[in-house]
Amino acid sequence: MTAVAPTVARSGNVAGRVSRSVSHYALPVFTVIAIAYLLIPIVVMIIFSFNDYQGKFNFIWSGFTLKAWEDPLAWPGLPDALRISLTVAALSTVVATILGTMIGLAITRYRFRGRGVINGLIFLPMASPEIVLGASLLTLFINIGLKNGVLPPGLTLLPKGSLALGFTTILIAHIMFNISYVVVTVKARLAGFDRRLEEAAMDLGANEWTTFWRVTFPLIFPGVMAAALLAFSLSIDDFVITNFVSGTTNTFPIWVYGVIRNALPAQINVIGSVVFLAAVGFVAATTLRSGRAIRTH
Amino acid sequence: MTTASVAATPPGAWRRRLFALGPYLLLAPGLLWLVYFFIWPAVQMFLMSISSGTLDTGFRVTGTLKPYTDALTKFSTQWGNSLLYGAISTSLDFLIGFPVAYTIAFRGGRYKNLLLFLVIAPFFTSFLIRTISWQILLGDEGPVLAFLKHTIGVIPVDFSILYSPVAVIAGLTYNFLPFMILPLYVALEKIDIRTLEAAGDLYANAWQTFRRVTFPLALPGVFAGTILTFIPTMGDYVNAELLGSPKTRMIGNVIQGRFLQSTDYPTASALSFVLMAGILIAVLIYARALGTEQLTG
Amino acid sequence: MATEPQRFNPDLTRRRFLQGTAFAGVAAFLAACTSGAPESNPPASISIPTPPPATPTPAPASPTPVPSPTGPLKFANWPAYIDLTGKAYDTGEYTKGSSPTIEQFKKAIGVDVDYVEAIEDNKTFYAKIQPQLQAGTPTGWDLIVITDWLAAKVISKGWAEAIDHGNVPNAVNNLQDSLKNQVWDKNNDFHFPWQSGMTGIGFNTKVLASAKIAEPKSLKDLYAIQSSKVSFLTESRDTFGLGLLKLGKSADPSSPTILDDLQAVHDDIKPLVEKGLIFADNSYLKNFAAKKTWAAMVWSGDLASSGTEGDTFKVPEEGVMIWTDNMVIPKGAVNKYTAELMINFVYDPKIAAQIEDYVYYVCPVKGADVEIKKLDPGAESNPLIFPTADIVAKYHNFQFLTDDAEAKLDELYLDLTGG
Repeated sequence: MTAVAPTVARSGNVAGRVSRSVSHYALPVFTVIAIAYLLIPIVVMIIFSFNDYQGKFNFIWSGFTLKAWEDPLAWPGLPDALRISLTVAALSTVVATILGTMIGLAITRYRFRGRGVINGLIFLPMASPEIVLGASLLTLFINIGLKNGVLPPGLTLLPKGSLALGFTTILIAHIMFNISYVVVTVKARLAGFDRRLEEAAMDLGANEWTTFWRVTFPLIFPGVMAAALLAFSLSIDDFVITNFVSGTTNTFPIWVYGVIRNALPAQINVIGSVVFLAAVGFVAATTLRSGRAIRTH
Repeated sequence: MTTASVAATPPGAWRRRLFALGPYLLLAPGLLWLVYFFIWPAVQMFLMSISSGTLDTGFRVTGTLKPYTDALTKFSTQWGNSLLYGAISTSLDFLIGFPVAYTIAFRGGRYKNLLLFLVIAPFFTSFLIRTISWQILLGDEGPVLAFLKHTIGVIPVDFSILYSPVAVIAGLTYNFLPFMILPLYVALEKIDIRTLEAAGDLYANAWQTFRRVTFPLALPGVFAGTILTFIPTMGDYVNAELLGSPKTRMIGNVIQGRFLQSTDYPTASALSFVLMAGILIAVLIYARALGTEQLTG
Repeated sequence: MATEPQRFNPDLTRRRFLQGTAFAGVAAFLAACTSGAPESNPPASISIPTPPPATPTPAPASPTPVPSPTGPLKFANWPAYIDLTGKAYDTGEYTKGSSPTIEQFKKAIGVDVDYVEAIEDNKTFYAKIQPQLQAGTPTGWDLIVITDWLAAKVISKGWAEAIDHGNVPNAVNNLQDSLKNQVWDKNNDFHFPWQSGMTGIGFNTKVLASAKIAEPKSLKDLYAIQSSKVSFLTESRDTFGLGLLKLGKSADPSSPTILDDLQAVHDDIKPLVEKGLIFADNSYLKNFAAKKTWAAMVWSGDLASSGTEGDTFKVPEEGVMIWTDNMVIPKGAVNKYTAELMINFVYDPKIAAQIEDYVYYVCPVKGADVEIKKLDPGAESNPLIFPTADIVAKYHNFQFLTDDAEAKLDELYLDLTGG
């Protein structure tokens, strides 16, 4: 690790030298150890995906094999769970990104009443523990099923059972918790947005529609993409909220939680490793590209 | 929303009118979603928390306060565990996270992005899989303990970490550490390094510089980091479930169990509400105490 | 409908370590049960839920067109509860196609089966499906396997589809007499048993030997083992039933002192929880494999079917719990006819023997003992599948509780487990 020049360094006494060497060596060493701590479970996950374990439990190292990698979907329920996870993540990302970006645009570009309330409404889901979000949604869906309590207008008109716990309710929940994160991410991008660019476009005769698609959208696009990525990763990894509203439908995390009670298949490690490596590859690729883009400009 | 008169106007005017309505049209779908699937469920849950009955006999809103008295009196162990584990793991996260964030911000040099990437790398793999990895690592015959027990023989064979408070706190600390490091990094990164050099020029020693300059400037990050760590820790039940025993149950386990196992919805709802209210109040008090309320809005 | 069972992996024989005693046990078991042993027929004072009076008439008299099976059949069962052989047994890789029974059923009927190990304990599973049943919407399952008390409850609420006896001739003919005539469903209009089983003590002989701990013979011994290496069951009827026996109290749910006795069991277990006792469902299998658990309250077949070498089931000196898990078709099942075909299929003695030779639970199917002899000579004298007379004499049934006792049990159990 290279170190930039020590930040605090003037006094020449012994104490100063000690504290200097602490900050010079101890901090980087500590950081390396802390990062190792963060990565240990991932290393364990990847190593144990190659374990040639006996029985149902991938606990104790007993030799190298590629068995699990050759047959990564070889557990009943796993292919279905992955498919549902991906579908929910994709759909909830698209819907939440659209809805969230619209809110982000409205908040940053218009003046209107009730901003405080709306900001609060956006902030609250993020400040609530997941378990509370999951539990309250479960209460709603159960009440709809039982026709109990005061139900939201319109939802009762849906055919009976259409909000029974399952795919639909998972999707609804994921869109809900994703919206706030999208709004916050898009807002951050729009904060540094130069309104004069839009005004210039309008001066040149573009109408609002054209201005939006030709000027505004391309400028906020990186923010929207970042929001979508965040939404996708939140959705695909969510366990707590999904566990409350999934009924008998399994997403990948729910499936894992069920299967690890009485087995520990290496396939879990394989899927985990693949997702991890794909994400790392994706980030590396985008970083390289943006790095190159900066250099060429 | 749009009235009939709008439809009669030419397309250009129609668009302009649409844009005049802009903020509301943009806000409506997303906010409706949040109202239907966040606010309404919360209201439903509140009504459930003042209901009596069972799932068999049906729930009726009676205005009873029994669920609340139960929630506040019957679960002192679990509330205690939640507060204790939450406080300890948030503190540990801060103690580990601050030096790491500091090092990356001021000493990261050209490795800054790589280090940041490594900090968020755990997010690229499933939360459950990481926790299962800890189960393997901390197992009674796992790599660490088996070595200490059999190879060195320094600890008795019936010694265990798994299913103890230590394991739960280790899991919580681990899982939410990146949530601490990132906001701290963002806050520290904004500090102009010349400010710190100036402190040195004025003969402040390292500790004084840290206490009088660095830390106060990093306060927004400290605030965000502790909130982002403490809230999910308080509501978590997966770590206590996978790494703990009945003795280490947290309030999240009770909410989860009452909702998903014993269908005691009123008590579970009351517990959720107390948890949520407690967290919001704690956040407000904390914001005031740190003097960062202007930073939260 | 029966097809030839597939060839079995010769490895299966190594799971016969639990075999013992005499063939006479079978006869004794049947005799003991059919004579109406007091434990297996709960006394009348207990309020056992009974089916709704207006029984939907199964098997309409008029000739109905033969329906065609639909699928996939959504089958929810407990872990380690069906045959897994070949690759699955050797490597623990449970691939589609590794259960001969399911594969043969698919081939015979031509319908896909979605067999999911979805049931951890009765309460948790019931909490998942009850809201749907109450709302009158499908649960998502076509066939579920639940224990006596829960089956009785579900049936009494009218939440089970009536089984058309015309579609399940095997089950009607081959059900063990001892399991017929249940108060809560006299004519098997709504249920057929999947397996019976015992709840006792499980441990691994090798692990205990290396830790220099004597093998527990009684529940007292089990309680004495260091608590952080022991697990009890999340199925509260099992844990408290055995707890009553450990204290020398009556495990008869109609005992007048039952409420106080349950409290005594709770007070007896509480100190163990303080010392690190955990509660497990089938996950005790995982804890055994990880050597996290040295000894536990377990269900009789699991260690034999899914454990490792040295895993042992022990009938405690104080007695064992006996129970039956039952196949029930939940109301609104989409593939009801296919579910009935499945019930019929597993009541073919050949198929039953094939399942039995893997799961090691007590078999509800007549004629399976003859078939299992052909399949795996010696298995017919395995006391787990065909318990001996002295085991049968230790049976206790702690399934049907009064509402008061059930409420008390729930409260005490939640206090122990911290939930």
